[in-house]
Formats: sequence, C-alpha cells, structure tokens
Amino acid sequence: MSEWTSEAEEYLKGYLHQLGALARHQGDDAEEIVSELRAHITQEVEGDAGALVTVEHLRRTLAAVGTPEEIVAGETPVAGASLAGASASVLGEDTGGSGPVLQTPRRVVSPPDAASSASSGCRILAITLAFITVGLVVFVVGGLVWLGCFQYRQIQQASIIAHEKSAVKLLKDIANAQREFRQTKHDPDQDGITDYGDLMKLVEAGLLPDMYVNSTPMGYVYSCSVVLSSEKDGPAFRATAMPANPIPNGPRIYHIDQTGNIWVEPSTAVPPAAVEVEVVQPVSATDGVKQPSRSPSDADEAQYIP
Amino acid sequence: MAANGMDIDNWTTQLRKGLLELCIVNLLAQGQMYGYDLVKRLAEIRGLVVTEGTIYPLLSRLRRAGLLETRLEESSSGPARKYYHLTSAGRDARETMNRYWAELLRGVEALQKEGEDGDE
Repeated sequence: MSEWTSEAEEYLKGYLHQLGALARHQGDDAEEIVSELRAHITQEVEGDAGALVTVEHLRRTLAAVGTPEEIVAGETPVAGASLAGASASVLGEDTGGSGPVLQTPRRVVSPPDAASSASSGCRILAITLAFITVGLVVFVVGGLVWLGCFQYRQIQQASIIAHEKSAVKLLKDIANAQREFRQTKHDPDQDGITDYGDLMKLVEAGLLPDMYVNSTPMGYVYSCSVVLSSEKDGPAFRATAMPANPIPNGPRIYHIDQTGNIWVEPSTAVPPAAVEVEVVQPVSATDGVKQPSRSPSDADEAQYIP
Repeated sequence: MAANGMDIDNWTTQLRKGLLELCIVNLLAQGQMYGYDLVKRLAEIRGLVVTEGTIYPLLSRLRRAGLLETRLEESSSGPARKYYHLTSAGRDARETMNRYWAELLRGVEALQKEGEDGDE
C-alpha cells in the first residue's frame, strides 16, 4: 500500500466521479466500472510510484487508462460523438475548485443529474398543465350544461305561463259568452228562468269561435257543464280548460263558473303565482241569474284563485 | 491519420471494437481472470488496446449480457479482487464468434492475396 497525496486523491476522486456520471448517462453499470477502474488505477499507479503517489504519477497512469470520455465511449468514435451531450465536467466542482483539473479537453454540458431534474420538472409542469386544462374544460362544460339547463327551464316555464294565460283568457271569454247567451232567453226547462248553454250552443249562437269544440287552442281542451235553473244550485255552469297532453310540471287544469271566479288544480308542482289570474266580472244578479250559494262542490280539491 | 480522405484512425477503432470482445471471450476461455491482469494481457496484443480503461465498460456489458460472471476473491495485497469467467452462454458465443471470425479472415486473406497478385 502506498501513501497518496491529498491532491492525488482529489484528482482520482474527480476523475472517477466524472467517469461514473458519463457511464450512468450511457446506461452502463457505473458503480461496477468505477470500482474496477479504481482498482486498476490504484494497482498501476502504486506499482509505478512506490511509496508516495503524487498527481504526476497519477497523470502518467491515467494517460494509459484514458480519459472518462474515451473510456465510456469505448473503442467507437461514433459512440463518443453521441456522448457530446453527456460529458459533464464534474472535476473541480466537487473539490470546491481547489482540486486538480484533468488536462484533457472536456465538453462542458449539463450533467446527467441536472438533466434528470429538468426532466422531472418538465413532468411536474406537464401534469400541472394537464390538471389546469382538465379543470378548465370541466368548468366550461359544466357551466355550459348549467346554463343550458337554466335556459331550458326558463323556456319551459315561459311556455307554460303562455299556455296558462291563454287558457285563463279563453275561459273568461266563455264566461262572457255565457252572459250574452242568457240574453237569448234560452230556457230549455221552461221554468221562466234563462239558462246557460254548453260550448256547442255557444258556438252555434255565434258567441264563440268553433275552435273551442274542434281543436285544442294552445294545447288545451275546453268543456262546459251546465246546471239548469230547475235543478239544485241552478242555473250554473262550469267551464274547464284541461291540457291536451298532461305532462309532469306542465300546464294545469283551470275552471271558471258563473261567478267569474277561476280555480286551478293544485296537483302540479308549478307555483300558482306563475300565472296572475284575473277575476272576470261576475254575472250580475239583476240579470235574473241565480247565484250559487258556494263555490263548486269539488272546491276542496281545487285551489281557489280570487 | 488520414489516407486519401479516409479516416484510418476511425477504421482501426471500429475494427478493434469487435475484436476486443472476441479477444476477451477467448482469453477467459482459458480460465477465470482478474480484471487488471486481463487488461494487461490484452494490452500485449499490439494495436488492440489503445486506452486500457475501455476494457472495463466492455467487461461490464458482457456481464450484463450474460456472457460473463464475476466472483470476488480476497487479496493479501489489498482489497478484494473481482475475477471474471465465461458462462455457458459466453462459451457458446465464443464458438460462434470464432467460427465467424475464421471465415471472415479466410475471405479477407484471399482478397489480400489477390490484391498482392495484382500488384505483381
């Protein structure tokens, strides 16, 4: 065993460090190669130097062993050229600048560790960007879906309101037509008290258009039941506007009677306030019309809209 | 060194590359060998080894390829030494490589002889 100067030790350390970095970059077993070369160099230089190994002894030995680039590149210059991006100048960095520097030309490039860190950083950046992109897409798509649903509900609601307003208006027309119809002295039970007529009679009298009986204006089917004056609670009528195609949360059923009051069925989820119902002018008692003592008998099942 | 635009150094380097592996497997066919001794034996072949350090990456690659195995042995004069020896796959590879090399050599020598005859 020979004694080594600290400079020689640092020199060898730097040399092997550079060799290991290059070997790792090449995909070789860096630890094995470094270990074997350390043993080789030690045996060679100690045989040459004798008791004390100096940097000069080491340089002579390394001249025969080869530079780290030559060793890792092997006996193929082409492979050496491919290492142009990998021959890191490690020497001097680890020794804090105080150590010896190899006298062989070296290409100064990023060391493999730095390349690895950069690659890792790029991966993190890519993952972050992917998350942000996915988040933005989810946000935009979710927003559009929510907006679409909101708009759809708005349109649906507006459509329902339009249909219900139409139904209320046509029911009021029926009530007005009934009032005029009684002026014709229609008295089928011949008790001296004029009665109301059904929709067909109102149409035949020219008081309503025939759409009430042969179509479904704004999606509603209209009907009218009549109570003659000779019957209990007569004379009276009850006109109904019923959706032609009932759908959940769709237009509701409306009723009107001789008092001009309008009822709406409470069976749907649409809030009654959706339609502002106006009360038609009740038929005057001076017209000889017998007023009902109460609201329709099924008022318990219907919501009264004053 | 260049000859009429051809890089002779590059040519000899590439030629050595394959020959080194051939020489290593043939050297180890004689028995296990310490890395340092193996390098020194190869260096005795003139022109084969320019830089001694290049042998160790080759040995490492051959070991990883399964052609060689290593064994640590204590040494009285220093740290434990790593000895290399051929595996059965290495022995098979050696036979194939030797056959190929022999055929190649015969062909090359024949061409050389023809060239020499042409010179005359």
